[in-house]
Amino acid sequence: MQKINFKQSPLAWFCAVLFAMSVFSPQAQGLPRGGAYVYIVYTMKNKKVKKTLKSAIPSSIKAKFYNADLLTVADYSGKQKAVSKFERAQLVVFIGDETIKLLEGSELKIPVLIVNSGLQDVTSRKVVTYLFDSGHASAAPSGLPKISLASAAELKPGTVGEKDAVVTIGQKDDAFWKEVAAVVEKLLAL
Amino acid sequence: MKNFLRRALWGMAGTAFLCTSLLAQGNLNISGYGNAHVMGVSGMPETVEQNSLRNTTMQIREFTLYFDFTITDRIIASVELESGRNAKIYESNYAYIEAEATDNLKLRIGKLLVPFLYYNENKPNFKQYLMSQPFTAWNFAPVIGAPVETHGYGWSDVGVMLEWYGEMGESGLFSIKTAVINGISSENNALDAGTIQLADGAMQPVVRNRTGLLHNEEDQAAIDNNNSKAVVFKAVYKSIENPLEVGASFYRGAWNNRGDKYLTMYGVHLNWLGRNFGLRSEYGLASVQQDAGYDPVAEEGLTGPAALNTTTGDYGMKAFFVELSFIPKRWQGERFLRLIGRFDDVDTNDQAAFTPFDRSRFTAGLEWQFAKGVRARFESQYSKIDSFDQAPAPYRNAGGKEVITLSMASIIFSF
Repeated sequence: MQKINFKQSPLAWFCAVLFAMSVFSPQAQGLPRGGAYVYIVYTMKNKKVKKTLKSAIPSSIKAKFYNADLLTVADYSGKQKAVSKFERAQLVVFIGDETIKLLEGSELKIPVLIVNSGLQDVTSRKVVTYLFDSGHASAAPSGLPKISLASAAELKPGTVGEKDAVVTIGQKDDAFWKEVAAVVEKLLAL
Repeated sequence: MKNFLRRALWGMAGTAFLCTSLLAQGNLNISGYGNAHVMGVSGMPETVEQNSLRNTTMQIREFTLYFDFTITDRIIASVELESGRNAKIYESNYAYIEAEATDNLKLRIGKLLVPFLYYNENKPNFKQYLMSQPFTAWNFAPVIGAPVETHGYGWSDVGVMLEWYGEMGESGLFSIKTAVINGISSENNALDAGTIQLADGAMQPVVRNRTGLLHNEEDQAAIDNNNSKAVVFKAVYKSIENPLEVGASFYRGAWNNRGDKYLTMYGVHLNWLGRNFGLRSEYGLASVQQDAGYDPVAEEGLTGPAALNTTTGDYGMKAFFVELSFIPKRWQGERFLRLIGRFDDVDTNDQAAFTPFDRSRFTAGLEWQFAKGVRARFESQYSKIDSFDQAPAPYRNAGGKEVITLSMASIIFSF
């Protein structure tokens, strides 16, 4: 078999670097994915909500924020890069309808948590688990494979898999954000 | 030959294995888009070259793959591989590494999309409503040279770019991009040195048709032709309360080998992109420094009308477009029908007695998204050359008309 001549082959170097990155990357070593465990995607309209959620999430959970409005002024490479970044997290939290719309057409391969949105956009998810209070029960779209729960405590191992979504709908008060934070905590622990 | 084949097979197998491995780990994200169209043109002069555009043409213009590799959470390597020459070749449209210093400040190094006007940074056909590009992105900013150029779509260049985003409360945001790139160049003493050979049935003269900057992106070699780097600046304001976006762009760089003749361009754009109603517009002005009395055709020993081919000294260019679109009907899911109308105008040399690219044009289009990510489009153009009364006899004899029409049917997909 012919020996690979590294001195003369840029292709060999290219493959070697890719191979090294593949072997030594954190994922290959079983380390936690990426630097951020949770990505929270927000728009400027719900900037205040972002702060509320941040304070509700336990400090032990590393959260990173992404302003989805930036995609409207980014060039056409922006969306793919955003999806790439989100997929390094263990969970992506989308706040409101607008954030999901901005990622239209892209499919994340990890579970997502959608806060206060009953849109049909969540049809790209395999199974959608809804958490809502009785006043918002009608907000969930009809005809989708879905599970309805009353609280984060009811989330069990195996309920939410890859490409699944959890949707929380409710009154935006302190109790609601605590419940959202509890869902985040639970989903990371499952 | 045997060694080459063996190496190619090993390379393909290795790359496929590594891509699969990286994809499985979630480090590599692949997406893309493409389109194919059939096009017919009338009113163009016949040329000696094969691609005279007088024949009905079927083309794959782009079949693009994006590769985004997340090295760390704040460092991403991105490549756009784009087909050209009817999918016979693949080349990178952009290939860069991007690092986030903060959430609002990014540094990009490599082959970049040039941040000038709106179209170039939004050129994929699934983001546009017409397959044909406006004059601001054809003759002016050298974004897409199709169908004259059959590869290298998108104006990209090697350099470094700093991006900064700023929020204005909850009402809007600012984006400022500043880049230093090799810049538009010409190995010739004329910036706009492209020629055609007219098949006029007689002398078959070689004529500078003054296409603007259309060929200059193609001319950019791997090594800059001078020591002077070009500077590009773009500022954009995007409202959050409504779909308004306004922006201003600036470009300045030396283009000749000596590095003492400058191309300076100014651009503004205004968009209102709502759910059903859309307005897009761009306006660009350019000022070109150039010596007078130089005939690039004669210098190459070719025959052509000296009066048309000789440089006129410093000159200006301008181009603009306004595009309106409306969705009258949406169906369940992602299906819709869109109507599009666009008016654009260009003058590639305000000192030349005649250029076929001193023209205005109206384009009407119809777009039907019949499945998620797949669209069928039809468009029809009517162009009128403004200074046709100055057109030389060989141009008319070769079949060049005052009115040029074009029709195009396309399929566009993204994934």
